[in-house]
Amino acid sequence: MQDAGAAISVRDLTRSFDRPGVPGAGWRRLLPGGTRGAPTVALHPVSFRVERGERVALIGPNGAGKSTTIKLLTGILHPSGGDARVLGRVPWRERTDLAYDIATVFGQKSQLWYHLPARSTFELLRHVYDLDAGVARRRVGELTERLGLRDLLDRPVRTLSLGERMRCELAAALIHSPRLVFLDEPTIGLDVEARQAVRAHVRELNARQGTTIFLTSHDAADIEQVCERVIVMQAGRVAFDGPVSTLRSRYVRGRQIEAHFLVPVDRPVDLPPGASLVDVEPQRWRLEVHEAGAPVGPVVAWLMACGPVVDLTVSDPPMEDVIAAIYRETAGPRVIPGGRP
Amino acid sequence: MTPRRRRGMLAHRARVIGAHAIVTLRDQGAYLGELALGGAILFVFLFVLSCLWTATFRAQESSLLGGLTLVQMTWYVTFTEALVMSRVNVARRIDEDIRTGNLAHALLRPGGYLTARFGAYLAERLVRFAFSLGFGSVVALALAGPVVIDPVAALGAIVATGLAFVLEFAIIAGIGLGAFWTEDTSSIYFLYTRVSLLLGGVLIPIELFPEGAAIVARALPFAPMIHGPARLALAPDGTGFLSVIASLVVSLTVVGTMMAVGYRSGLERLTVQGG
Repeated sequence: MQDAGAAISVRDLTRSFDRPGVPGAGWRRLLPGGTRGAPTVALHPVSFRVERGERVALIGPNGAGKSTTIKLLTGILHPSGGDARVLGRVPWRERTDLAYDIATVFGQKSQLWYHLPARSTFELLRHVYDLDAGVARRRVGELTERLGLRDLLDRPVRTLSLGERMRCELAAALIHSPRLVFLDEPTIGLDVEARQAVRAHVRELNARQGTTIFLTSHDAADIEQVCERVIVMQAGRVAFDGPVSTLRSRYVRGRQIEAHFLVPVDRPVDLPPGASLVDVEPQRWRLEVHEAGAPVGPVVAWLMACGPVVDLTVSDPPMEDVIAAIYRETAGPRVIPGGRP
Repeated sequence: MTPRRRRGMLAHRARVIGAHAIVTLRDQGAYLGELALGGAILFVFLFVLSCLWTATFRAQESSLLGGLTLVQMTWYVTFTEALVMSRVNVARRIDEDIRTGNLAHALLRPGGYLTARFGAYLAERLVRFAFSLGFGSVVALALAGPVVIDPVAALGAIVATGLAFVLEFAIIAGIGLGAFWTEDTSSIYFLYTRVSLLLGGVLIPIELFPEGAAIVARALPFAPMIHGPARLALAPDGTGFLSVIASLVVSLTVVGTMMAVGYRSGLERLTVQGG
C-alpha cells in the first residue's frame, strides 16, 4: 500500500521496452512480435519517496532512466511493474485528474503561442484548466508581480528574449496553482542572469506556497541552488538518494587546494602522501587531498615550501566535478553509501 | 476533485475547443500572406475552370449540364474550390507532434489532445473558407454573373458544410495518427487530396460522372463532403438535404469511430509500449 500523504511515492517501479529485432529474421518476422529482440530494461526496480514541499533533483547521465521515470510519474507511460502514487493518484490511471494538480516545465519545449502575446496563452490555459475568470485574473496578476512580467504580457512571444520567454513559460505552467512541478532542464540555453532568475523564482514558489519541486538538469548550479535533495540514477537504478551536501562529500572524496605563486615554480617531482595534482600552471597549482577529513595542514606546509605563495584556497570539489564523476560511472550501478536506504 | 472539475466533461471540451479556436483566430493574423497567395491561386483556378466549362457548354450545345446552367456551374466550382482550398493539413501537425514527442507533452494538460487540435482546425478552416468563398464569389460574379440561391437551400448548405468540416477533420486527423505506425504519412495525405479531388466532384459534378464512377463516388465520404454542400447551395429548394446529411452522418460515424479507435490504439502504443 502506497502512502497517499507523500507528494511522490514509488515502490519497485520497473519499465522495459521491446527492442526491434534484426530485419529479415526469416518467416518468424511475419508472426506478431516475431521481429522483436530481447526487451531493454530502462528501469530496474526503483523505490523512492518525495515529501510534500520538498525540492528534489533527479540526475544521471543520458540513458540512466530519468526521462522514463518522469514519464511514468506524469502518467504518459505505463510501468512494466511496481507501483507509484503522485499526490495520492496512480499517474497512468488518473492522468487527466492528476494534470490539474501538477505542472511540467520543459526547457526545450514551449507551450506559448509564438506569434501571440503570452496573455493569449494564459487565457487559453484558463479554459484548459477550467478556472473561473476572476480566479485566473488574480492568479495572472500575482504571477505578473512575482515574475516581473508587467512589460512582457502584451508583447508577441517571438519578440521576447529567451530569459523573458522562460519567465512567461513558468507563469503559464503555474497558472492553475499546481501542488507539484516537474522541471526538465529549465535553464537550458539561458544566460547567467536569466538562469539565476529562474532558480530564484522556483525557490520562492516552493517557499511561499510549499509547492513540491522535482527537477532534472545537467546543470550543477540548478541542483545546488534549487534542491535540497538529490536522487542519482545510473543504468536504470537509484545509485544515490540523499542531501546535496552529502552527495558531494560521499562521492568525490577529499578537498581541493589551489595555490597562487608570486613567481613561476617548477612542476613538483614528489607530492605529499594522499595528494595528487589536478591542474598545474607555472604560477597556479591545484591539488586534491583524497581522503575526506584528512588533514590538509601538511599539504599546505609543503606548498609554502615549494615557492612564495600569494594566495591559497581550500575548497570542496565543485558540484560540476561531482556530477562529471557520477556520469563517468557507466560500467553499471554503484550504490553510494550515505544515501537513504 | 474540485466542484469545477465535476462539471460536465463535454461542456469543458466545448470550452477548450472554443478557447483553441479563439487563440487560433488571433494567430491567423501572422498568416495573411499565405491567405493572399491562396486567393491568387483560386483566381487562376476559377478563371481556367470557367473557360473550360464555357467551352464544354458550347460544345454540348446545351443550357443545362448535370442539372446546372453555366452560371450555376461556375458558382458550383467556386464553392467546391473554396471547400478544397480551405482544407487544413492537420495530418502534418499531428504527425509532427507524434514524432517530436509533443503529443506526450500535450497529454500532460487536461482537455484532450484531439479536442485542442479540433478547436484550432475549426478556426483556421473557417477563416480560410470565409476568405476563399468571399474572394471566389467576387471572381465568380465577374466571370459569370450573379446566381439565385434559395434561403432554405443555403441553410441546408451551411449545415452540410459544418458537418463536412467535422468529417474531414476526422479523416485528416486519422491520416496524421498513422504516424504511430508508419514512417511517413505525407504520402497518404497526398493520395487523399488527389482521390478526394477526383471522387469528390470538385471539378465535375457527380451527376456528370459515368454511372459506375458515380456509384463509387457516392459510396465514399468524399462526394457528400464536397459535392454535397455545393450542390445543396444551388438547389432550387431544400431538395437533397436529407440524403446529403444522412451520408455525412453515416460517414462521420464510420470515420469518427475509426479515428477514435486509431487514437486509442496509438495512445496505448505510446503509453504501454513506449512509442
